[in-house]
Amino acid sequence: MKNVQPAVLIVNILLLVLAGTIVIASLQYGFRQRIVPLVIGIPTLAMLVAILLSDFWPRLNRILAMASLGSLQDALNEDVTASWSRIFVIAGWLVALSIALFVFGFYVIVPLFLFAFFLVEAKTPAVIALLSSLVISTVLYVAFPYTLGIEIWPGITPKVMHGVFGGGLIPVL
Amino acid sequence: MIEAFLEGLAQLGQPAAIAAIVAGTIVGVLFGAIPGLGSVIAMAVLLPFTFGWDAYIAMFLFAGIFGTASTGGAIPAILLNTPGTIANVCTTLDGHPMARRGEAGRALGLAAMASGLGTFFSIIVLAMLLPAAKLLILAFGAPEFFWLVILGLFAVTLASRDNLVKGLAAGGVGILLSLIGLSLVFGQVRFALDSEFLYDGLPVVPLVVGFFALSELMVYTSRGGSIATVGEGLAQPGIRQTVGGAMEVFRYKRVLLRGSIIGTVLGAVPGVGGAVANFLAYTTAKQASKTPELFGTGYPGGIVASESANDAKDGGILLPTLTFGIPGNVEMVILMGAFVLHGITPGRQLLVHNLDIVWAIILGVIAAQILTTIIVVSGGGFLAKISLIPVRYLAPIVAVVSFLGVYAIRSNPWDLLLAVVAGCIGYLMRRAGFPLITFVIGFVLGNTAERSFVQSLQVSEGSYTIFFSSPISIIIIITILIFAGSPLIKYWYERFTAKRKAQLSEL
Amino acid sequence: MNATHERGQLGGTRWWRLLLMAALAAVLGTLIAACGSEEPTATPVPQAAPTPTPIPQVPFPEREIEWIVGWPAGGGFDLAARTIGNFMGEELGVDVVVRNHTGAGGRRAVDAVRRGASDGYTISIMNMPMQLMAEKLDPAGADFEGFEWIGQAVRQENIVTAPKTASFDTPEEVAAAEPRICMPGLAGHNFLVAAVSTEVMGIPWKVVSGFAGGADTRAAMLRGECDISWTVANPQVVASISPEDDFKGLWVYSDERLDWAPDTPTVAELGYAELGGPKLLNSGLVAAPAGTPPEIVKLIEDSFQRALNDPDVIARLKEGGMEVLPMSGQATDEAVGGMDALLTEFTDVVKARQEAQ
Repeated sequence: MKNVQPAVLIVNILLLVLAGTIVIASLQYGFRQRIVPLVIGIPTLAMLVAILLSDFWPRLNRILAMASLGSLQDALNEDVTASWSRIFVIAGWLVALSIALFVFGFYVIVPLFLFAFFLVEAKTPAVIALLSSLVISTVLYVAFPYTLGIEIWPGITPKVMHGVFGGGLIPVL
Repeated sequence: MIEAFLEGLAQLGQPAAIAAIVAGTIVGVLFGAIPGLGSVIAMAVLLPFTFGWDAYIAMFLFAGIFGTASTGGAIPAILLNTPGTIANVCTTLDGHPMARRGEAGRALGLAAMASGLGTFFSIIVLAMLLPAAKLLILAFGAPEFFWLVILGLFAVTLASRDNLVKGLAAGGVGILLSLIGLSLVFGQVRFALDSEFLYDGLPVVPLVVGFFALSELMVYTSRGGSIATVGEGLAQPGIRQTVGGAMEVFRYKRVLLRGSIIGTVLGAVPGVGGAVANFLAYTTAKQASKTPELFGTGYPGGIVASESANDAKDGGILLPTLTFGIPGNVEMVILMGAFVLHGITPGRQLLVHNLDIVWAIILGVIAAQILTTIIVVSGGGFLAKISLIPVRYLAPIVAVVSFLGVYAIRSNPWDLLLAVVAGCIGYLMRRAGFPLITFVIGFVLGNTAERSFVQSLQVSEGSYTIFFSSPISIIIIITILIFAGSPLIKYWYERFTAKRKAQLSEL
Repeated sequence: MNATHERGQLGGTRWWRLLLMAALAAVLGTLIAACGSEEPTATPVPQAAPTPTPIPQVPFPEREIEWIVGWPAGGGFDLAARTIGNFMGEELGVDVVVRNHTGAGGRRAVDAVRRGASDGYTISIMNMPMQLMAEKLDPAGADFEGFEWIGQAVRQENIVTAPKTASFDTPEEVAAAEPRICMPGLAGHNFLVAAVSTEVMGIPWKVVSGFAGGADTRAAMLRGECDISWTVANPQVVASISPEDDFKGLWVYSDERLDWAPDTPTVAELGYAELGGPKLLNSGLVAAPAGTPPEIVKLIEDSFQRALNDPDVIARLKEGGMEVLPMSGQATDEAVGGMDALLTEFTDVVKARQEAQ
């Protein structure tokens, strides 16, 4: 019980919720439509509950270890043991990037994000950060929308420049 | 047959044909190497460009793209632990540890050469099987397909050897999530909460990009430094290392052959796909190896198995497409669209009326793959240097390019947010010891398994005996039993003998 | 392990590498661009315009027009949009850019017309009557009122096929034989036609579904997994009912027999005239958002109609198995009304067929 990892607990609960929702929702469908959700879902739920409880119940832990043909002590590689504060910072960058892209679009946010990341995270001198972010953005634009005609999201802000900044039609969720 | 072959060969000599193959190869490798993008997008965006081209030239371009994307996908798999396409997942397992050791060049050489030989093998098999394709397609019905998918799912148990319960649980959740959305076999949208976003199910590309590209980005950015851990005595990536790696492939002839066969066979069955071929080839290689403990630590055989299979599937997948007009995957749907655009009717007439086009595609794939192997081997030394760049410069570029790829797949901005959520969940799952690979395999196959299961019951009008009534089904079932049973038996046997020994020594 | 911000030994000194890579990417990018533009794109030669374009009150078009397609590149409607859009672009002097907004069974294309800006810079192609049915089946579905219809881009015939060895030919024989019906999916155009037809013809609904397209269903019929198939007549289907192939056509839904299937009767000949005509044919209809200024609609419509009279456009679409049957915006609006009436009658039938699993 002492070594309950927060990640294990969070993931376990998350997966339980996901699997449980689908299993319960499947009950409203006909026989053939719920057979696969139930056949797969019930054992999955059982395993998830067992993993959840095994942290508190050593005997179950031993049974699971035997069923796993090895120890339940996760063979984690040392890569994923960074401090949580550092992970929150990086995840924060990514979340901020995705939301900013959603709202303001690629054309504006890509150079800004690169500049900010180079400046803050990589501690690059401002001039170099600015130049490199502009160069990289230009290369991306030349390659994607310009040459290949791949559509680029302009963001949901009111239309400022057609197709470039603002005015995207948000698809219905 | 011979005239058509010579016609195709003659077309290949044209300057425009060479230009198309070179362009297709470069686009294929680049798009394959960028997570989220892949040959599907490359072909879709280039299809309109080919308006008004000669049909041969267009086919050479497309052959160049779909034949080489999975080789391109090996590049980020090795350098960044981020599979460029979903068929490169297992390349990360051994390729990336090599890159961490400073042997990225060696890994790239191995991958390029294994890809090249895998393609070559499968294309030769394709050319030989063209006349017999009808028999093969008629032999493979819904129940046989169902068992094949189950075989793919059972391979999950092998992959999560150290952590079977967590692996199975993750795979189960993957299957359940794959059932969200419109099921064509039922004609109903399930589990979608009346959402239009979920109408077609959870989109694969944002999910996979989040799981692999973004969660890995969090891993290496938090680690800092560069991908290759810099230190004394570290191997220096370079052209010599890459060529050495390429030559090393020939030491793993058996692994190569097995991977190529698995890739070709699974490729030829429509809808199974490169991810499963890749996965099965890797796990069987590990099972059959005398040194399974080396897999996952940067073992050359692992790369050879993975890359030979995912490129061999390109030859296999052409078989139903060219002979019957049954597209094996989305790339092939677009290829058939290209046929129609150029006035060629896909389907069984193709072999009768347009055999020259068939040969043009086959020769195009071979030429493009040879070119790719040369490019990756000769450029491998340079590419490998990416592993020496500090990740704090690399990470923002990877993030931006990944998001571009996620948006390009269906122009839906919500996918950007989904990718980030998947990235965070993927990171947590890795931290909690839930293998992402089993989740992804479950997600890719779950829907297909259900479809072929229900379809079989529709064919038999409700009788379950259909699942056991053909020789092919029985063969696959036996394979599944061997697959699923062998690690269990091996484990119990080892435990039993160990106990026996302990008891004997006590006495 | 490594929470501290490590600069690494290479920090700052390897900038040229990044720049070099950026340069490499730029070179590759331009190479692709060069290869793309080297080859001449097909320029349909504009015919003598049937009607001179009136000078519009508003300056239009000033920038590219976006044509939304709800399906992936490479499909039939995508081909139609690109071919016609290419012609219109040449004529209007701006690019007509095809955007593949895929997802939700093509509903995003309907959505673009329903919610898009009504300035004439957004038009959409819809797969009818199927998408009309999809909205009807959805309690929260949209209606198609008020769309500014531009016209009909393309149309595909429906045909019912079965293996040559099948014992049945007429609808009565089919009803008596109770065959298993091959369906790629229980959603989409072929499903809609089959659901309505089986109801009208009294054919029992026994279905095998979930095939990967038409070729897969034909393979399944040869394997004996199912017995009869409703399909749109693309070139593959046309070839499959040729004398040297394994299939026969049972009936078609057009008003007259088709020249490539002279032996296959029409539904009207078999006594089911109510199913014939354009109502159930697979049509790609083009519309602009409600409220688009009439003079702009007129401008787009005229250019669109001229494209459909262009021999190159017609030839290209015919190669793709699609028939060009120009229909004015007004006529399209009426045709949608006809579809609506028929589908309203059969909504419950289609729903029941879908839920029969």
